[in-house]
Amino acid sequence: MSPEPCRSLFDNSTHPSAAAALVHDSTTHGVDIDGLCAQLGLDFHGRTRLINWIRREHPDPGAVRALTPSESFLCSDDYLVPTLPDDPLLRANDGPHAEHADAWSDDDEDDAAAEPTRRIRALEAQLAATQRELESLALIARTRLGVRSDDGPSTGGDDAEPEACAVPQRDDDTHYFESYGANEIHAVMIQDKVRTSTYASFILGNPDLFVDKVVLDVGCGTGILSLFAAKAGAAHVYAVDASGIADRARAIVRANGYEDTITVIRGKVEDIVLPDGAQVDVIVSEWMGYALLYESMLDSVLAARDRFLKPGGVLAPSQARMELVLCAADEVYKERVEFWSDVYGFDMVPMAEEVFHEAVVDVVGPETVLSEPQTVKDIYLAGAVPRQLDFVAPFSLTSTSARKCKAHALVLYFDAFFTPDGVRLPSETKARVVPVGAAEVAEVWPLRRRLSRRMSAHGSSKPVVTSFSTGPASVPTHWKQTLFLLREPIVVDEGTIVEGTFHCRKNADNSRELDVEIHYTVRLSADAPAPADVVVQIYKIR
Amino acid sequence: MTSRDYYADSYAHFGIHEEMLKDTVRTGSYRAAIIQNPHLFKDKTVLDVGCGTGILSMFAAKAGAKHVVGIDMSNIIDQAVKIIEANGFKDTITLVKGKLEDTELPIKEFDIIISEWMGYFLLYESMLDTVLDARDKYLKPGGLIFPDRATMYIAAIEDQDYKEEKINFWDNVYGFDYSCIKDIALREPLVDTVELKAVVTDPCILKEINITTAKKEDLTFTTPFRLKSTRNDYIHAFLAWFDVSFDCTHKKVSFSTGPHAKYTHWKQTVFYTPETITIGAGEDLTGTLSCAPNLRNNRDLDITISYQCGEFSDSVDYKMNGSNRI
Repeated sequence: MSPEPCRSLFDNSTHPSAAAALVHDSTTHGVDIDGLCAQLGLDFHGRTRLINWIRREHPDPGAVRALTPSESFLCSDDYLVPTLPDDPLLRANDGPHAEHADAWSDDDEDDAAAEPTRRIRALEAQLAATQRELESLALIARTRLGVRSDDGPSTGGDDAEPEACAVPQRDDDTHYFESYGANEIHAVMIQDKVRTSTYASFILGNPDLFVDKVVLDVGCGTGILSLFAAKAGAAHVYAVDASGIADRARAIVRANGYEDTITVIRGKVEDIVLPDGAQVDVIVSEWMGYALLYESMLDSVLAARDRFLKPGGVLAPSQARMELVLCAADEVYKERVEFWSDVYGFDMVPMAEEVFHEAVVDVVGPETVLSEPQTVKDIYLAGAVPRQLDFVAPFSLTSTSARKCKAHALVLYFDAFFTPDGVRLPSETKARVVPVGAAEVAEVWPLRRRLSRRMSAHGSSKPVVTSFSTGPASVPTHWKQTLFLLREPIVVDEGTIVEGTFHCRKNADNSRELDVEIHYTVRLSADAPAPADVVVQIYKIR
Repeated sequence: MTSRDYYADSYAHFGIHEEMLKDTVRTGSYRAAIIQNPHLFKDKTVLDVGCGTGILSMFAAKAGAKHVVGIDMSNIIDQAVKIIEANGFKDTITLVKGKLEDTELPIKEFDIIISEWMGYFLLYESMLDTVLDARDKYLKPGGLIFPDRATMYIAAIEDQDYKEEKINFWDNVYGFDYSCIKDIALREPLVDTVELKAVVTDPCILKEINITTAKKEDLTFTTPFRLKSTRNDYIHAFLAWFDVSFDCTHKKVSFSTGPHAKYTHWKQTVFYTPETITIGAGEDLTGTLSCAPNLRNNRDLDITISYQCGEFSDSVDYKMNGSNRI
């Protein structure tokens, strides 16, 4: 690497190379950066933070000489961002760091990111250390303030939240957060128009909720919801994500000129602190997983609510419902089950076994639905607590099929609701369905102007409910639907009743997976006697 | 939001096997190569490397093999055991769960090795290393390998619309500037199907691998290429694919994963260039492609394409890490 002119850390002099600048700072100001790094035990990232901190905060040389390894800036990701663009000092130290000259830089604005894997590891180690500190701090704070801990011992006792234990925790998270480091998954999510345009429509269409307000975006990903909130006039947005995508979000926020409005924080929302103990007016989050609860991110949103939401603050979405419906699912059954009975003349039926233990995520057409949906869970985010997310719900589905046919699956999907006042919606309020083949979904969101004017003109009018559905009747989303294929397909006629209980809980070995049990009986009609045989099928959602 | 595809152990999952079996070009070619050559298999010992559901082992047994050993390290082999039994091959086929390097096989020498080891871009996450190990350790002198030849090709394509959707999309995301992701997106080769009419140049062979003689070092290579344009057009990407053949068979069974051939689950691999290249009929686009396993994660591939066309030249580093499949 050819030497580049480099500015001193302590005065405005410029030197022919980074090395020369370091010599100057050592002889003129008595600060030997490399010596200091060794003394403080700083690795590459520590050194980067130190240099950026000096450049940004302009401490005097005496203060720098007096630094200790416990300085808080040495743990802050903010100081991984170069204060000087292309600061040669950040590249100067070669030796063990020469490998950083990797052509595979994923962020040219940030030299520290030149070695993503290493950086992720270092940050994870730091995160873990910081987490431990924060956990103890949080514990002290909770005890002192007498705040209810949402993950405290559950009354049931059988399913105590693992997060509540003080013993070393199992790590269900590292892989989870790493999996969101890749770009493709964010492309899939952003390009899901139903998803993104509904959020856009709600945020941009309700400026009163956002203008001059403080907003928290939980699991911000690339930061799209934070950008919507900033555009809608938010005073400040805190965008939090534990995945490496947070670094990209920071770059995107800068590229769009919102760096003064949006602060990106990489960390778990359970652990982070907001500057000056900030509380927020609105929490936006896109936390929904397959079958709504897969990945258990809702727990984090509820934790964020308890830690940061002002009394009377609004969560977006404010409500979500899980719906169960009876489905023919012929196509999926043919592809996933019948296919295996003759593969190039061989019997491969053992391969079909999996689908009776594991939920299938796929799209079923509206024409395959055989009953009205029934809500098995209605989650009002303002009041929900994590232990309610393990639940048992009764269901009774009556076949609407005009002719005799086979139901091969029970299908689960969810609807999400957004209201500007966060009010609980009654069960009659149905989610908006965008029929397959309807006009461009993207048309939904530019409507905001008209919508907002109408709203301000009739200030007292009923607030508009924004919603979307992931059900078979609506345009498919990246969530598709979740199918529970039945080992014994049910023969249904008009009026046939399939009833029973739907059980859903976090998997004991990996809290981000779900265990589902379906217990059901079949009656030919409401008048028929209750059948004796209860069928039970157990599934994993993973 | 959801990360299921990246979260699950995709090889223990059945979906991938379903996809491979439903790939009729792939499975049908192996079937033809094996079943139509009983003279090669009669009373022979066969090793199936990475046997998965056991389909190739069953083809070999049906073709008259004396004994077949199938080895796979994935949990799929538990299903394969049931399948073998259901089809009455329990005595002919022995299945072994484990890594070839660490496992003791019941037979020490084989007449034939069969394997479906090919990955995206032929070499991404491929099992070729293991097949070469198996060859050196277990194959009798003069033994056969199915398949025994693989050939990689490159061409250049016009792909305006799709580049717009996949790469330039990041320039304007709901009115926001996401271009910093665009640079990264560009460096991830895209596994996708491309129509033949998009191909602007003649194809050029990149690499020919003779499985009976190849060494592991051969899988790290730098090859020059020269692509002659067949028309006046714009070029937005390079396209790579591969052909596989069973030269040892009587009728020389082979198949291609190219844009001119029937769909396979390998599709093709698209490498978008940062700039659009303008080319005239008969003009040459020249360059080199180098390919090497990533030093930190050898499942990933580092691929560099340097090219020039008239006055214009550029060099792009790509990285295949499997996150970008359509």
